[in-house]
Amino acid sequence: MSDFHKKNITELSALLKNGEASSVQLTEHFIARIKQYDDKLNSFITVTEDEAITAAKAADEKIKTGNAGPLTGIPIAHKDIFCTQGVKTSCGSKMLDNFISPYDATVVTKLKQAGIVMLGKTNMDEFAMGSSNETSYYGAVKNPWDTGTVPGGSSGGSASAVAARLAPAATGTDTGGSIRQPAALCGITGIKPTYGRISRYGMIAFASSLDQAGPMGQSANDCALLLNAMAGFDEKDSTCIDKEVPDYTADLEKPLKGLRIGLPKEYFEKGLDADVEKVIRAALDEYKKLGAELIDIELPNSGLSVPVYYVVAPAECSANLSRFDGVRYGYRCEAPKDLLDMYTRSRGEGFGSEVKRRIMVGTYALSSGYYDAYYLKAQQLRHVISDDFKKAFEKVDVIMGPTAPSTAFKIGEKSDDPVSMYLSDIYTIAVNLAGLPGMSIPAGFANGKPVGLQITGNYFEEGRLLNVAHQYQSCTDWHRAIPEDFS
Amino acid sequence: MSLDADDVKKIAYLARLKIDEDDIAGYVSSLSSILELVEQMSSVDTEGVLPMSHPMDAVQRLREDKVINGIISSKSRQKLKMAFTLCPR
Repeated sequence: MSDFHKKNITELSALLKNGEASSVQLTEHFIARIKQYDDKLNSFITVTEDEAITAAKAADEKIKTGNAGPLTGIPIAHKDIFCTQGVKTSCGSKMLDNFISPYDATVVTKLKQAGIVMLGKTNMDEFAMGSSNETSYYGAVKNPWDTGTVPGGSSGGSASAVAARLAPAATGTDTGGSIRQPAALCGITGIKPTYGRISRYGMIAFASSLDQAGPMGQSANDCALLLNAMAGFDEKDSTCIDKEVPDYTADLEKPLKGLRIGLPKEYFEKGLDADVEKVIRAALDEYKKLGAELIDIELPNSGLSVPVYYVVAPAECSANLSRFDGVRYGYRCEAPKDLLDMYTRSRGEGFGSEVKRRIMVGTYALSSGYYDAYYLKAQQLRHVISDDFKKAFEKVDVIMGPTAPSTAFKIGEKSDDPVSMYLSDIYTIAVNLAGLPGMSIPAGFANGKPVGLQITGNYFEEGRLLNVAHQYQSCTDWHRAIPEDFS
Repeated sequence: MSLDADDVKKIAYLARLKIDEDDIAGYVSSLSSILELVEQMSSVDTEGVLPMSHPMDAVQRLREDKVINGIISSKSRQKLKMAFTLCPR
């Protein structure tokens, strides 16, 4: 068997360009790996082998004509939250187990136009609600570094598949940390861009004011290539920002001398695992060697981000998920007595317990007499949290800290305690509330499990984040590590 | 903030969710603990702070109110009658 899976997108692209490999060969290689290894991981819900081979053949034709771009013929996986025409789009839920999307999400269309080959759809927490990928209707996803532990969530299938090199890269979405936290726990690179940078059209909505898509891959360089294709204005998403997309690979090689890195003291206080902290401090030392300056900062209201998020996200999800009523598409209960029975049973039977829990929290927060105390208060606090970041960015260029307070935890360890599960996103949520770009890169290992370094930037500074990540990856090898059982 | 079984049943009705009787106690406990977490918001005075609905303070962009590129699958189209969706009475 060849070693295509040990190569990143840039390397694979070079093989395609030089005629050393065809897209069909790459696609067959990764499909074979999915068949060989995914029983252990459960990272895919749907594998689109036939469609992938057809797309790969078309890519090979394009490469022959000399019109190929850097992504032409590269196989990747899509999180099952993105609508894909003619392919099941389940969002990890029984509710959409029978849903074949009649259209493509804008992200899917753009990547198709860039020549990407879709390998399949990855597993995820149901409707992206979870931090461990245990809430999926299709079963828990396993972390390839230790299959007794979770891969993080909600983009856990994408993270697990990329970490085990069942796909060179994958798409993800991030509402409260769902790209960065699984990227950290699985030892891969992931970026959540500024809110509005990538179209949300065709991305099944969870919390519309927070949801943002992004790439998950082996390196900052790969993420930059994917982001180049994914970002941009789309009139079909009314919250998408009409702003020119720079070439995210342009500044990757820029030296970091003089870079001001902010370290929020709140991210290094109680709750942070000591071994994780050691790894993060070592990564920061590496940045010092690269010429960066470390500056202590404060984000005094960041502790409120979890409570604020658990009002905003459930409130918006309760409204967004009201469309799943058993009428037009999706799950419908057997033999309903009347319309109300059809609504309540279709929803009661079609949704899993975490989704129902969040719909109920949101319904309560938005119910008559409670709006001001919950949703309005939470939206005001978003401004307060966002102002903390604004002040910080007057003094520093990027903010760094751990992505998650611990490494991957055991499957089942937190599933009975929702609040303890919610706290695993304590360092990532504030970034979504403020709408800022953030990424996670592999920074080393604690007790054999990957640790992620979170880098947060100012609005639309994805290019700088990728540069900062790439420079670290140019002098370290953590991002190249592959779990032994999957190498 | 603590909820009881009747509160949970009322919320479930508002959310149009059928919850099995056996599961009510679990939801009482988990929803109460989430609301307790959320209570921490009251520790900060937000008098006069504007609510944030879009990080860039962008306003809702509107388009002309006309049908463009309607998406409907052939399977769904079969269930349509006079532009209405057929479902059980």
